Amino acid sequence: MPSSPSQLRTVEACASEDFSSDCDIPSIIEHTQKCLVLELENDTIRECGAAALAIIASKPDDVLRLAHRKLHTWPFRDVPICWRRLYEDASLWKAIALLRVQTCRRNPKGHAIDTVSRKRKRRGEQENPKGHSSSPAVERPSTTDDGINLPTIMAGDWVADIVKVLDMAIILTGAPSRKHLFNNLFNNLQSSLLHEVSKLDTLRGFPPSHLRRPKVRFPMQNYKALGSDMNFTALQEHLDASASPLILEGAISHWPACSAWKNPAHLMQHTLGGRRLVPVELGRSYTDEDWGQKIMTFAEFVHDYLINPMPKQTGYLAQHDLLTQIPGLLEDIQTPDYCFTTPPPATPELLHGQPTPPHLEEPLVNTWLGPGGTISPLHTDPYHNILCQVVGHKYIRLYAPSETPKLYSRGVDEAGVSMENTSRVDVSIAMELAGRSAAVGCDDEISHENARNDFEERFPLFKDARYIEAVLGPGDSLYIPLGWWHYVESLSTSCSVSFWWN
Amino acid sequence: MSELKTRTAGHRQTANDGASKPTSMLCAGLNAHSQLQAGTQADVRKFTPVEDISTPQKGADVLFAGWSTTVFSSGNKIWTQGFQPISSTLGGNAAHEDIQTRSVIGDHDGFLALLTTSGDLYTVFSSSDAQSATLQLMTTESSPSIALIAFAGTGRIALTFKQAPNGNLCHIAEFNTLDRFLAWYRDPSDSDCYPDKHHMLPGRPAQLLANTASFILLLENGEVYSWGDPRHQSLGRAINGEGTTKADVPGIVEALGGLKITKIASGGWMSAAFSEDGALYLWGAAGAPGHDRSIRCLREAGAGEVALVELLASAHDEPLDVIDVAIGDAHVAVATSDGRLFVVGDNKDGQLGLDSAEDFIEDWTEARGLSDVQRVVCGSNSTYVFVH
Repeated sequence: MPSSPSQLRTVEACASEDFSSDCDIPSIIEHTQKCLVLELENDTIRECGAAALAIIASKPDDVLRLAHRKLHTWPFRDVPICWRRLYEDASLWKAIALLRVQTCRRNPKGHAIDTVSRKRKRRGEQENPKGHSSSPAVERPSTTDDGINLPTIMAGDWVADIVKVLDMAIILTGAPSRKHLFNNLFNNLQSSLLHEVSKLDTLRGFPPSHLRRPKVRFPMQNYKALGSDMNFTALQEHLDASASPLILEGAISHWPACSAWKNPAHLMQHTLGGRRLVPVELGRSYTDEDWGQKIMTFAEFVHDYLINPMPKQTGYLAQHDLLTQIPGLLEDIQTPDYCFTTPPPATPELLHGQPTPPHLEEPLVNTWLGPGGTISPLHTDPYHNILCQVVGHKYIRLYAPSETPKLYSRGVDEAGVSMENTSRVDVSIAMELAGRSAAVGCDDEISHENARNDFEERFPLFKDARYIEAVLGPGDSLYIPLGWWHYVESLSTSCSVSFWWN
Repeated sequence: MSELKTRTAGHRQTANDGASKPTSMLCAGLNAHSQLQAGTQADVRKFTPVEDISTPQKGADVLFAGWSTTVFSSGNKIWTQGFQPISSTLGGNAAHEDIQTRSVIGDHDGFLALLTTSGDLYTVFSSSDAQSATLQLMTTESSPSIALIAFAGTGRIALTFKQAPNGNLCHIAEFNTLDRFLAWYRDPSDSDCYPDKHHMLPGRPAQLLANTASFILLLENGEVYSWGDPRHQSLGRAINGEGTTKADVPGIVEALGGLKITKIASGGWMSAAFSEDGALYLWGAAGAPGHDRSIRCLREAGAGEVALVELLASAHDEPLDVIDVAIGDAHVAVATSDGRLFVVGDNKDGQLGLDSAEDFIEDWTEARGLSDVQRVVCGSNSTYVFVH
């Protein structure tokens, strides 16, 4: 296995050589700039003030830092949109500046380097064709030029530099007005990587799992009409009749993703050689004290957490809209027709303290990619869910809303945030104590007994809560009704796609 | 952010003590609008003299240092360097007496308003072609009588009303936006324009400042109050639990209880205070939100705690007495009684003046090459130092 993310790639035809046939940088610069200087209708960016707009093109780093500061001045939902717009546009100007550096470097006539602000210099800056060093080589810590904490990237990797700037803008602002420009830039950068070869190309799949499968004692209802899959009408009838959980075995086995995503190389290729940034949850479970989130390159996630046989901790790319970030992956999946049925509406009992969400015109799609052993603690969601298993296996346990009194919801926390949709019970520990899980339990009989008594004392009703369970495999889907408690544990490297609808 | 010019007895030196030794001004930091050094947009990474075009008798003073503009004053003349073009004389050309500035407010776009010790409010008016701006007096006989004003990064305004000479009740009014404050100032009797919040405290206000999202008030008896957004430990006091005051209501900073504080400073998500015996206290976010570097001495302080900052000339000395402190968006500058300057925090724009390429300095560092530092003023990304 490659020993570091930087060894994942050997750039065969170095991106710094003749790429003009693959990636027309002057045109992208011109196109992006033309769009940026055009005034948009009702654009709130003017509210940021003339001083910032006066230097956004010439000093995008300084404007980025002002916008970043403003994005953190209020709780995110209160941030005036103008600051998201300013950060978005300043990022695009910065991307243009980084692209300009590449045009200058490549021009054999050796036109003078743009006056690049000293803050825009990159690690391992090479000499330009004229032989002048384009900036003093100063070692900088692993931050963007605006000082924001970011993952380490390959020295001298200009594509990664630009991707970082663009992805951070999307993460921080949601790209309110310039999505098309971001996508255009990503597509063009993709073409400059055509010759890149990844060591991951030799990997045929993810490492095998050593986690033992729990025995399913209380199976869920499984729909398997003879020779056919459940269709839209049949599910609608089921929803009208009982709206209970239902395994739809093999329902998505026709997705190209079921074979394509088994190979890390496919996902790496679609994430610009793994350069795209993704949010990763670190830690055993989001109810643990030491749990956190980190933004890292997709390559770092794959290398350090997905294919690493001895990761420092669990890393889970969870609840992330990867398919909007990487539209190229959309052709590997297909939104199930089921998401266009009309399910029963939400009631306060089913919402468990969460506000009624608005009606969704389109289903909310999330991707869940992680190693074996990821845990989503017992909780409910305010939407109906079709959970599609693409790669690997997941153990899922469901408790009906009627069992809620036995599930010890967390209630409202000190900051006033409702955690009523999350249980205090750690189901993986409950399974261990009941002797049903293969996870490492207590060697000592006595301490196991003590742990069991502790658990009994804290959660006496839990053992009487009725549940159903299943192991989902590649190609399977599971309908999880709104308000049903669910606990999910991956049994191997797993990739799922969930569709929330109402 | 607001800048306060104090004229209280506790403050040892003012730049307008021009009658004694002449002071000169040095600056360092973000210069993208040429607000520190004309003719260039490059950051000024070491302390460099400011061009002094003041009158020979009086030194120039920095009224406000913002992200894009620095505002200077000398006597009644006000002028700017940077993005916003202002050239104005308070009280018109006929003014003979010096008008003393009490509070100044502005933001990343520039200077917004100025309040004098006599309670006159001047606001900035731009010409129709935005090529120049002047200060215009807003105060009329029916205007509210205000003493101090501050402007937070969130756009909120807080002010204190003038008190009778023997009055001991401090009235504070808050407005959600500058526009709402100005509407009330023009017509305080209109019920639609009433303040969005009103507080009362026992005491006489000496200084009122704001940072990104909170306000901090120093009373003449040395007590310090804070209120606003409690995130990042910015209030320096507990907001939950028995005997505490909620975050959005002025509450006393108990960690400074018993101390007689001489002066406060505030910026970003930090605030500072030093006592009459020269001890300096700092609280708030060790690292700016969303950034990974942090100021070491603040890392251990929890919510409701303040850090005692001890600055030494050398390892074996006693801590130095502090005579001035100023805070920018994520950096702090301190002047000590022996004329040294110590700095810490963000140096991305060179605002620490250390001539260093480092983006951030975690530990207090003396800015060498400066002697007889009298006073320090910070802009969001810059530092101004007054030396003899």
